[in-house]
Amino acid sequence: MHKSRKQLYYHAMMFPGMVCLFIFSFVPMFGIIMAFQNYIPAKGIFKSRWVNWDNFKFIFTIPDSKQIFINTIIIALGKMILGIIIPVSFALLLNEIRKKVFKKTVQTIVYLPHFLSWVVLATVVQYIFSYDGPINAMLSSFHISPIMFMGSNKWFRPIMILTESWKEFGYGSIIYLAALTGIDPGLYEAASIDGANRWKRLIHITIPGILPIILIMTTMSLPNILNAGFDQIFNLYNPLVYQSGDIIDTYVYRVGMLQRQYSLATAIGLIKSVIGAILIATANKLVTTFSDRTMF
Amino acid sequence: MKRNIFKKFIVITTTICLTVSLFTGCSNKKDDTKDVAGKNSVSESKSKDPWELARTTPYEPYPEEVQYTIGMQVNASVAYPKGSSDNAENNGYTRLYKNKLNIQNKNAFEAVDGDDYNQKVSMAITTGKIPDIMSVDYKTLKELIENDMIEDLTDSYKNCASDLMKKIYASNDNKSLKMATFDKKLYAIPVTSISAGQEMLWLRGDWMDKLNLKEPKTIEDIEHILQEFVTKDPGNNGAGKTIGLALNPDIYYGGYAQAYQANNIFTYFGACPKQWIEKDNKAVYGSVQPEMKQGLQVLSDWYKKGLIDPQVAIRKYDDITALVSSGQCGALFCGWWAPYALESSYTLNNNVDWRAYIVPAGSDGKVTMFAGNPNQMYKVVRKGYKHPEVLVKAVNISLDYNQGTSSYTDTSDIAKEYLDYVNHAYGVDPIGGFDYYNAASLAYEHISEAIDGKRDPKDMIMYENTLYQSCKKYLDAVKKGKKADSTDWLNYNARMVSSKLMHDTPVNIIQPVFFDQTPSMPLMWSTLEKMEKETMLKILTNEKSVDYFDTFVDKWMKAGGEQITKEVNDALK
Repeated sequence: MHKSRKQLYYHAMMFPGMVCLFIFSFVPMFGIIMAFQNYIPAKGIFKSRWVNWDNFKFIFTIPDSKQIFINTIIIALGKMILGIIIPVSFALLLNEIRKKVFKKTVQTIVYLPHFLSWVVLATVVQYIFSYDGPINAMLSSFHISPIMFMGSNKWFRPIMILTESWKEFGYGSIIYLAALTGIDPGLYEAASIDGANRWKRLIHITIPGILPIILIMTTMSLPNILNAGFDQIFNLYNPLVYQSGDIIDTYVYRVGMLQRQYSLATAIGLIKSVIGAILIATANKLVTTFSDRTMF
Repeated sequence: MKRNIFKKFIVITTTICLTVSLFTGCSNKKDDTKDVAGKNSVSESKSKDPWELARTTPYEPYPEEVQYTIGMQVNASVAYPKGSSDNAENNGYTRLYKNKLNIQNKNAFEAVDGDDYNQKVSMAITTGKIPDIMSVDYKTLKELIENDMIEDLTDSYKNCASDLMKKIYASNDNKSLKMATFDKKLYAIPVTSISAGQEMLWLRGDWMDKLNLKEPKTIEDIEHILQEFVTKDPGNNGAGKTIGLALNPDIYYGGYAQAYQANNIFTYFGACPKQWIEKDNKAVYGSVQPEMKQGLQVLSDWYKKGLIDPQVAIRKYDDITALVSSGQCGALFCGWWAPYALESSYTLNNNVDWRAYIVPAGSDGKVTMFAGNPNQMYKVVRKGYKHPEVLVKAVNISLDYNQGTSSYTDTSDIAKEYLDYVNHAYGVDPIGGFDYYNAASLAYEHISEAIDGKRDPKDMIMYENTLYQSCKKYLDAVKKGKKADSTDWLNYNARMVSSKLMHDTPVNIIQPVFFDQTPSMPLMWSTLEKMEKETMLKILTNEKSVDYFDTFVDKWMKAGGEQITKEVNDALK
């Protein structure tokens, strides 16, 4: 009794936050109804006609829906994998640096791109990969004829994945750097007395030390498998690379915003959420089975 | 214990404060219009005559102030007069309407650009609270009529439209009004489009002179000139740096004569990209007709020969303008207003000399163009608004000052201030007007006659007068051998040089038959459009051969094109 009364204050303090959550996260969920209607703004949710699964059926009859899903998954998966490998290795490398000034400077510099929006960076990327840009200038010095990177279906996906990883790896490495400081220095001391060299220490102390964090980060990024990065692709793609670069979000933008087909856009969004939810549940299960940790 | 109560007090008050502030943030604003309408109805019963008079005559002011709410697109960078407290609800425009008709706007929402505006309109419709007056596109107009959300304006137009308004609509055979009429009822005051005139090939004349090139007439001539530009580098850009024809990645986007397309290359072969045209008594979609192949053949050949920007796929509108301004590119297709896009090239380089040619002409010696949608937007009035004629009467005023002669005859302070706004603070007019279908041709006639001394400069509309002054300044500067101001250069080239060409050159006009949407279009069109863009760009850049066009047509038909074509034909019956 005494305990629950004490907790009452905390519950009361949480109340405004819960109200916010309810208004901004739960209430909009009723909009999902639109996915099962032929939603007409003038009629509103209550008067629009019900169409059951028609919107979902339509999604799979669109000739390039397969293409769009494949593009999304490939680009998102690539970004996820590099989004773990690069920050982790960067954090490990940075951890080995002794000079504090140098370490901090490098850290700050690599954070910077994270704070720039893709609208700005798109111009930079487009220039770097353009016909008269630095990459093609380099290639021509090796007598390779210029390549139109941004208009080539072969190059578009790798460029999307690489530039996104470049933009985010600095910021992504923060959490690993934090995890590294949490490893007991005594372990390193003991290991070096036992004659372990740097490499051995890395393999046997550092990596096992941050493995739980890596696992959790991987799991948490799994639901993003259908988020290939709208800002980036929308600003960089063109009709020539629709074939390899048109993703779910850009498609939803063209249908939902430009053609104002709210029902169809909601249906696609719902599919995305459901797949994301299933993935996060499975991933959580996997983590619990293979290690003694759990996310929730 | 005491401490505990204090703690409790703090927690409870903060919680309440936060929660209350949350809810008040969400609550609705009070509906202002209701009060006004109520007040009006009282006075109406007292003295019916002045209200009735105001309701049925074009220019009669209301006996008491009438308020209307409006959804308004506002120019975000508008420069209000220094020291004034003007804003989008109270400025030179609104004071003229108030002064002339005793009407006052209250802004239900303001938006800075078209996308933003459309979103806010959608929002307003979704919530069921649309402003008394707003502008919408055709699709929304139909939606509003279907759901009985807007007023029938037939009587308001019949009673209150000025002769000038009727004259402007008549300049395009009343097509505008017909499109806004459903079941013999007029539901909107349409905002007309101005005829684009012919698409012209704009070439750097100074480069042509340097290379001794003759003016182009045929497709081969154009190709020859582009070839010379690219290989001989008349602009000293360095070898391989000159770009032939400036083209946007969509090649064409439906609006004839807008910058950086190549519609004339298609219409030369009888194709009308992106238009629903009549063929063998049936409506067909222009982009999938076999005639397109010949145009694509020409353009993809040019691309292969390096006569079209090799990076066409990734260029955006501004990139292309930058290429043209910097002198890296000396050829583009655009309507008579190209100097607006080319102004910076003149600012950067005094010797730049753009020349326009209406080419390539068909066997009858004429270029073929297709006409655009007669209307840009539709102004509508909310169902249940007490004074629907306010819209018509306010448009009358706008037209009188802009397309009529009131700006000369009215010398009051209000009018002066209004004109200041029109010339220097454009974009905060809640109502606004529209122009003659052939406004550009008319402007050329009036200005050139005034320059020749055959017309009184006051016998033209205010905007034309401004242009006339500017053209005269340009001629004076040239006479004195000085560099003319870039605005004057622009106005002279657009209004006197290319407008003359447009005015004097006969043209074949194809009338597209369908500007509406069919039931399947909203769902299927974006897929079809994507397919079209992708195919055209791939054929242009030689990634696919021209024969791939047939495969595209086949796929297009199967993916919904056939059904939509059928729907279009049904709608036209």
